[in-house]
Amino acid sequence: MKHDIENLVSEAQTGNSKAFAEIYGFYAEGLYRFALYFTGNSADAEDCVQDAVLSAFKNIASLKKASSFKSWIFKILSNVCREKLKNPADRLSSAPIHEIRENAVSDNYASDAPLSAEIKEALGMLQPDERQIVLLSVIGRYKSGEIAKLMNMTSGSVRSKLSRSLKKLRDILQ
Amino acid sequence: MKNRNFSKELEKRLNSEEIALPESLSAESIENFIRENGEILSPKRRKPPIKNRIIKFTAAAAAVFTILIGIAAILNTSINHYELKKQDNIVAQKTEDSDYSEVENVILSYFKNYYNDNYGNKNLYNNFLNNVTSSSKDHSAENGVPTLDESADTLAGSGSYSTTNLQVKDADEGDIIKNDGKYLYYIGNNKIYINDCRKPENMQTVSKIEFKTENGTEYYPREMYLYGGKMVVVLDKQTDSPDYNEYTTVFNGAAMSDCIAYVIPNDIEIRIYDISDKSNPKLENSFAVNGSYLASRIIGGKLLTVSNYHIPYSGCGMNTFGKSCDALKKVDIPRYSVNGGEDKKVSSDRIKIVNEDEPSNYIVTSLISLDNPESEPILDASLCSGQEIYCTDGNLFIAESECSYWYRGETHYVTDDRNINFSTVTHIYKYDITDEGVLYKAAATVGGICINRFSMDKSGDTFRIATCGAYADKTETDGETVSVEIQEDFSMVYTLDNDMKIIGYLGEIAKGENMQAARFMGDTLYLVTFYRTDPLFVIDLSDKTKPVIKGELKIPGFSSYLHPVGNNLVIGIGTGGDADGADNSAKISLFDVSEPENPKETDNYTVGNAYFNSNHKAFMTVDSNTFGISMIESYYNNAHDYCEDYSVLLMDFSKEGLTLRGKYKTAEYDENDSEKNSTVIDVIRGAFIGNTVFVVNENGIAAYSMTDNSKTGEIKF
Repeated sequence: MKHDIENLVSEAQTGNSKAFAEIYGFYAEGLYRFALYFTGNSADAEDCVQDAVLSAFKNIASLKKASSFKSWIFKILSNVCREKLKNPADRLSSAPIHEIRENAVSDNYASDAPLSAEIKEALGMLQPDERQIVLLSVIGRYKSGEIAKLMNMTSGSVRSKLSRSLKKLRDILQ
Repeated sequence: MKNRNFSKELEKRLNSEEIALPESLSAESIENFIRENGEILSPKRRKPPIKNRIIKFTAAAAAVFTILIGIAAILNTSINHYELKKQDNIVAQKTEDSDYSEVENVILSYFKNYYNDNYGNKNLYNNFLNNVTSSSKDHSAENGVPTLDESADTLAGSGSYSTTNLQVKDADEGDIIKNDGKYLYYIGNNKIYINDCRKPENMQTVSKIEFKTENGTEYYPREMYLYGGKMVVVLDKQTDSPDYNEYTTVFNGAAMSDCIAYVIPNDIEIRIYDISDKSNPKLENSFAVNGSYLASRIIGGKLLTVSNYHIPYSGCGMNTFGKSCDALKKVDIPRYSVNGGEDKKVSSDRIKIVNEDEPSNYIVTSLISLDNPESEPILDASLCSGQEIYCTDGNLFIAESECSYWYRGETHYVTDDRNINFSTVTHIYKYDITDEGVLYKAAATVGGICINRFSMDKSGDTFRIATCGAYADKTETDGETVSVEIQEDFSMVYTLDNDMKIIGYLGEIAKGENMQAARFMGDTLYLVTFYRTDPLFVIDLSDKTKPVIKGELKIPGFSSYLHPVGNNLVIGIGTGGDADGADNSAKISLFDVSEPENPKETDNYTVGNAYFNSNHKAFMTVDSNTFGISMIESYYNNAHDYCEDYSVLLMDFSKEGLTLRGKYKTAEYDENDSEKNSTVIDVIRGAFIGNTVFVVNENGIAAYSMTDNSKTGEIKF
């Protein structure tokens, strides 16, 4: 099924919430999946998606190209997720790998997320910004230049963090 | 390498984990959530009712309204099934006639319904706020018309040099890169660079033209031409809508009935520069024409431009129908201006009413004499719209698609001229290009969509088009959703005579597959379709009433662009793959079509994790056995960093096979400049002068010797 994003975006830009919800529907699962991997628990993931979607709806009139809708809303979502994790209660351990492996992974991350134990452990191992880069790159398929703009970094930093993070994940998952 | 493979594996794992979307995040719940909590900031104006219909249909029913490939653009045009004026003649033109009553009546009666649908019973204040846009049109003038330099440089060049790959020999096409055998001209970074490349070790940018925002109007150079010592540039001209807040103030301060709200249409602008002195290009003439740019050509010394002018009904809503009509009158006829002068309307006797029932768009053409640019351009307009054009030196064919749909209990089917229901059809409008202007001649409707301009061809008196589409059947409903039932996609070929009557048809080719590429060569059509593997079809058109499949070749991957290179060989530029489908590799195929019943892929050249620029203009013919193509290749280096290589490949070929002659990279990127170290495939282009090959992109130009592949020079922009 192909859908007419351009028309739906135009409609949404006049304030039509039904049209907006329609577009949202195409990406709902991907958005939740992203937030779930990022935050590690379904309650936070739900909050993040709702916040991101609300923010997107409020600002949709500023979206210039309908075809950018997906990357635009993922950008909003990833920033919302980051903000969520800044809350001290959610902060993950930043101990080096071998220590983390021996100790329990942060409770918040492991809690009720319906993910396999291995994935939870692996993603929990990363710093929030590393996790954001990996998810944007691997799930969002963003290029390093785009991630750099999104996260206010240089693409060189993005590439080196991505490379380090992938290596960390590889150590655990392979 | 490890990281790249792992990255793919990780992606698979993360995407395959079972995750159930919570009820609170379903589309319906979100809709309620945003309705209760959200208010959109600075909402935009509504679009014409046609879109509303589609939106209501899809939103209300969360329907399975299947739209075929490449249709997103189509819904910007009318979608009702309408009666076309199929055939008509235009009488000799007068330029003084100013009676627009016929076309204005058509527009007005359409607008009546539009007005009632959108403003009739609603709170006009709120509607006005939603619809307010700019109220003034401002063409900034470029002054100065220097005299033509009599000793203007002709396109000289000792030896051979690259030229634009044209679809039709005598119809020159605009491009982002042009070559006169001494200088390379390139559009990048919103500028035009003129570069002296006579000595590769000592290349220099001798001049640079910047296109900055003027009075809130932005200019984007799209394409350029070189013609007789001049450079002709086609630009997108976009005027921003003013600040929303600005308008509430204006509104509050003025009587509502006095406020005029109409949309500034986007325009195209043509600028003609004298480049007899390359270091000092002088703007001589400029023309602005309403509409968003569709295409242009240079034919017989004249520049032809084609644009789509969308009538901005949505910007004309005001408190009374009468006031709204006044606003509409200011924008219902396409306009143009010369050298920044006053706007002139296209003359009424040059406007053709093609689509009477849904007059939402004009195709606007202009013919500008390049040998005599002081003369008045010839403007024509027809009430219809287009997405693809095919231009020979005597005819212009414009293709527009339309879909079947369901709305308010009724199914509206579109049919081709044989009265067969299709899910989508393509209307083709035929025009004669004459010294008197671009004259509408006839129209036809065929099934399916036209994927690009290479799907159209004219040979002698016969017009041929290859399309991809599906039959439409009855609607189906499960009580909740309604859809127009369509069957599987397939490809088809239509042949039409001079009056645009269908004389031949071959259908249901490759059911279940999508058309990827088409190329007509004389009486043969090469067609590429793809689902998992790539049948290349060889179709014989020598009997114009009976197109027939001669041969078929199934190979992995698919070609996006086909280029016949003589000697019964065809080069395919595309994507590689295996029996399960396409992958991430770039592939060049060498097809031997000496036996049409038995086409063969003699050889192929594949690069993993790469893709080519499959735009036909990026295909550079060097000589009868060598061509060039741009490529982006990605990989992980020794430090496991993700990297991209930007290059042009030169390939040698013969009946026996393909060999890589060389891979030439773009100008070096500064490793420390993270701002500016990546690029996109569309702007990477190759060129050659004599024995030097140049690789150009917005970073600069790198020059290499074709003899030993050594780098001979570089400049950065």
